[in-house]
Amino acid sequence: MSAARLALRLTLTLAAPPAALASLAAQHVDRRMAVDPHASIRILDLAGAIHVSGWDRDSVTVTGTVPRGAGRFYAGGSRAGIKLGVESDSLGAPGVDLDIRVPRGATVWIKSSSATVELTGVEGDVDIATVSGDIRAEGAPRRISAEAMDGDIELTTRAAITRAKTAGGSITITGGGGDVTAASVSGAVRYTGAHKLLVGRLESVTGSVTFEGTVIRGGTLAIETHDGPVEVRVPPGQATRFELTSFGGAVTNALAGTEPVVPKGKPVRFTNGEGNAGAASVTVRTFKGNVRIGGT
Amino acid sequence: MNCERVRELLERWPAGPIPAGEAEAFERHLAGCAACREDQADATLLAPAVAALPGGIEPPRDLWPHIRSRIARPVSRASRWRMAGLAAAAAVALVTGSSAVTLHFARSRPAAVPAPRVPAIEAGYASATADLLRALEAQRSRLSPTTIATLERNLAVIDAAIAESRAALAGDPGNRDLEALLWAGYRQKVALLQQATRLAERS
Repeated sequence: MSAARLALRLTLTLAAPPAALASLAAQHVDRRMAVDPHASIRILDLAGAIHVSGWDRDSVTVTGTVPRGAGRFYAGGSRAGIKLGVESDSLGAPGVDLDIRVPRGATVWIKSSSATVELTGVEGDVDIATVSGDIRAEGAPRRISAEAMDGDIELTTRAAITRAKTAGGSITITGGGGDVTAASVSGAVRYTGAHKLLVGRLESVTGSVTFEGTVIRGGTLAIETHDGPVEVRVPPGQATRFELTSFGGAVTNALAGTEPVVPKGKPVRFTNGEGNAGAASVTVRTFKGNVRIGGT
Repeated sequence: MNCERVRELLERWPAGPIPAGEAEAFERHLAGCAACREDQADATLLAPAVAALPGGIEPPRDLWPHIRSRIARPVSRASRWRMAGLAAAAAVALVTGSSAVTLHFARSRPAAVPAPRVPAIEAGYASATADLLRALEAQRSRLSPTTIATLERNLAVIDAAIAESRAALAGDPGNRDLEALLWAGYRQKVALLQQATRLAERS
C-alpha cells in the first residue's frame, strides 16, 4: 500500500460519522407486534429499568437501547403470547432500559435481576420478580404478585388478590382491598387502604408493620412481627374484634381513649364499635414489638 | 329494601343471583345508596378471587408416611449454605442468651420441654429447610455475591427470631401464641429459601 493510499484510508476512518461509530456501541430497539387483548406477555431483563404500561390497543411495542456488552434483544411468539427481553450470560452486564406497551387486559410476567420495574395501567394478572431491583406498580390488575430479594415494593393498586414479598426491602401498599398478603424479613410493611380489606396478612420479622384502613364486615386481618412495632388504625365506629399479644412490648389502645397497662405476654381482647355479630377481626401477635391501636 | 337486606344478598352474590322478586328493589336501593354501591363494587372485585378458591382441601391419604420418611431421613452432608446457616444460628443463640424476654420466661417458670407435637413439627421444617438449602446450593452461581449476602443476612435475622421464640416456648410450653410465633419464624425461613431458589432458577 502506498503512503498516499494509507493516508487516505486513515483520513476516511477518522472522519467517519459519529452515528456509524455509535451503532457499534449500542443496539436501538423499536419493535411492534400484534397480539390478542388478553395475551400473555413474558419479559426478561437482567439489569437496568423496565417500564410497562397498558394501553387500549391490541399490540405490544418495545423501545429502548441495548448498550454494547449488555446482551442481545429478542422478541417472539404469537398473538396469544410473546416473550421478549435481553439475553445475557453475565450478571454484571450493563443495564438495559426497555419501554414496553401492552394491551390493558394482558397477563404480564416480568423477571429481572437488578432492574427496577415500573408497571402501570395493566388490568390482567401481573407477576413481577426481581432480585435486587425495586418494584413499583399502579392501576387495577386482577391479581398482582411482586417479589424482590433486596428491593423495595410499592403498590398503588386495587386488585382482588395482592401478594408482596421482599427479604431486605420495604413494602408499601396504597389502595389495596380484597385479599392482601405482604411479608418482609427486615423491612417495614405499610398498608394504607382506600378500599375494604377482605383478608389481610401483614408480617415482618424485625421491621415495623403499619395498617390504616377498613376491614370488611366478617373480614380478617392478621399481623405478626418478632420485634418490629405494630400500628393499626381503623375507623373508630366500625365493629372490630381485636386480639393483641406482645410478649415483650407494650400494648396501647388509643382507640378507646385509654392506654391500659397490660401484663406482657397476656392477650388483650376487646371489641370496638357497635355489635359483635359480623364484626371484622384483627389479630396482632408479636414477640417483643410494641403494639398501638388507634383511629383513622 | 334496606341496607341490611342488600348486604345479605351481596354476600351470596354473584354465585347466588338476586331473586327475581327482589331484583327491582335491589337495583332501586343501589341507585340511591352510595354505601351499598361501594359494597357491590367490593363484591364484584372479589368475585374472581372467591371463585378461584378450592371447594375443599383433601390431604393425600399417604401424607403421614411421606412426613415420617422425611423426618427419619439421615442428615445430609453439610453444605456451605448450611454451615452459614448454622454459624448464624449459633451466633444468634449467643446473642439471644441475653435477651430480656427470654430471661423473663426462663426465670419465671421451671425449665420445660415444648409440647410433644413441637419437636415433630420442627423436624418437618428442618427437613424442608435442608432440602431447599441443597437446591439453592446447586443454583448458587446464578446469584450475585450481593444477593447471597442479603439472603444470609436475612436468614440470620429469622434464625435469631426462631431461637428467641423457641427459648420462650421452652419456658411456657403449650402457649399457643408462642407456638404461632415459632411456626411463623419457620414458615418465613422456608418462604425465603423458596423465593431465593425460585429467583435463581428464573435467572
